Amino acid sequence: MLNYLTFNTVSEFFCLTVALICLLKDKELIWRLLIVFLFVTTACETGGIFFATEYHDNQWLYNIFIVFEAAFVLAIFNNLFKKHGGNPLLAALGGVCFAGSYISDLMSHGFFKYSNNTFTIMSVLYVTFALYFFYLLVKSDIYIDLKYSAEFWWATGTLLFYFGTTACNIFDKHLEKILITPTLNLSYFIFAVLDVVLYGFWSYSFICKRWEAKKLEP
Amino acid sequence: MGSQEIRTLILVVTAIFLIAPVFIVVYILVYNQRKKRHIEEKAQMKLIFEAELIKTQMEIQEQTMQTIGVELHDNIGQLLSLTSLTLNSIELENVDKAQQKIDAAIELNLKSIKEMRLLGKLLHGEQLVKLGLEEAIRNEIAWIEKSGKFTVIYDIDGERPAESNTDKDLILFRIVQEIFNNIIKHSQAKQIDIRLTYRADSISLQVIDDGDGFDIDALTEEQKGMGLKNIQKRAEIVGGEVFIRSQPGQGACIEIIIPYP
Repeated sequence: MLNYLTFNTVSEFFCLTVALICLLKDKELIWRLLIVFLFVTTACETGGIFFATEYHDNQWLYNIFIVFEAAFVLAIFNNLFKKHGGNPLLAALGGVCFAGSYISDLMSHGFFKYSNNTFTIMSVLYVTFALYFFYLLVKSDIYIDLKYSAEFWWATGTLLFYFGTTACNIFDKHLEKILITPTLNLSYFIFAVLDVVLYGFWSYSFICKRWEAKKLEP
Repeated sequence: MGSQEIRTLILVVTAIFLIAPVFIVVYILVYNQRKKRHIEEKAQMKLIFEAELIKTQMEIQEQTMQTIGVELHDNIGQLLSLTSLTLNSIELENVDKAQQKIDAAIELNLKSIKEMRLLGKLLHGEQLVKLGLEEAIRNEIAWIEKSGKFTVIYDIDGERPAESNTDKDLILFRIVQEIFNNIIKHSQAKQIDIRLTYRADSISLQVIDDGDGFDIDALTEEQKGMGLKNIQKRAEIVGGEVFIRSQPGQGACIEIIIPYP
């Protein structure tokens, strides 16, 4: 049972709980759908531990998850771009990139090996999209109090996570050789911290979304 | 490069990758705060501008009322008194003389009506500004010339832009009134030259008089009075500049350039 209590699962479950409390009655469908995404994420993470423990292989599961991840993240960016006067075609272009790279990965090494190239390409794309969103915010004449902006903190979490994971993925072979404890390497800790950062920022973003909704209530 | 060095390099690069986005986020937050301040300052400037505009409108109204008061007392009042005296002095027995006096009274009455019409036009001073700055200035000149003390030459250069800015017109008109007030009160001038020039993205107003002039550097704050200060302040509020050139005994030239429209 303790196997299932990792930094990832705990932070994901915490974020799912916050999402359930804050987003269940949200007016925007895309934000409500984030609950589904976080549920899939938590289930996938738990399932991943189960398959790794029982069958020593869970890469196929993450190969399925990466599709959900791309769909949801791109859909939210699409929503942000539309709202802030960005180019809505960019997210569609991201979808095309994903499809191309995913098919190429599957064709080169099959379904049971993790599509690492796709993850790296998509990470770079998410980082670019988050920076593009920041550019739209900076360019706009309208002032938004970013301290309480759900969209800003969602994009910040995404930026920090995918920026960090891009580096970790590139240097993974070297980082996993650096052991912090007899069984856990540096790569594991960096990913754990990035997971906590991502879900921490997302949770705060959901709380901001709830505050926004409350402000609009009559 | 040894394996230890490679390891260090990788650690440094990874650390940079982890820290860099934090700086980006901090930069966005700081920039956003600056944007907030800028928006607040803009709103404050707008409030000041609106307050100044209202003040200007009120001053124009006040000046109009003063002119009307003086005009009623000194001119129309006198004309009507004279009409009344003329009519009272008519002796019906002497028909020829009575006819002469009646004609004189009619003439005085017609003159009063003409003056009243001019006053009516003055009462619509603000509407005059809406019709165009040139017309408003022309109307103001008409009043100055009525006194018979000044010769005014008024030139307009360039094409008035299709899109005008009534707020700026109003402020510029008030500046013209202030300059005229200063000339009437202090300059002892006989001739006033006014040139209104429309340029591609600005408007220039130049007023030259041949009066006593003054040494601008030698003027104390008190001597500058509200007139010159107001001209300066009003021009600044619409993003304009004021150039004053004057020497004692050599008249004065005041030029105002403001972005337009």
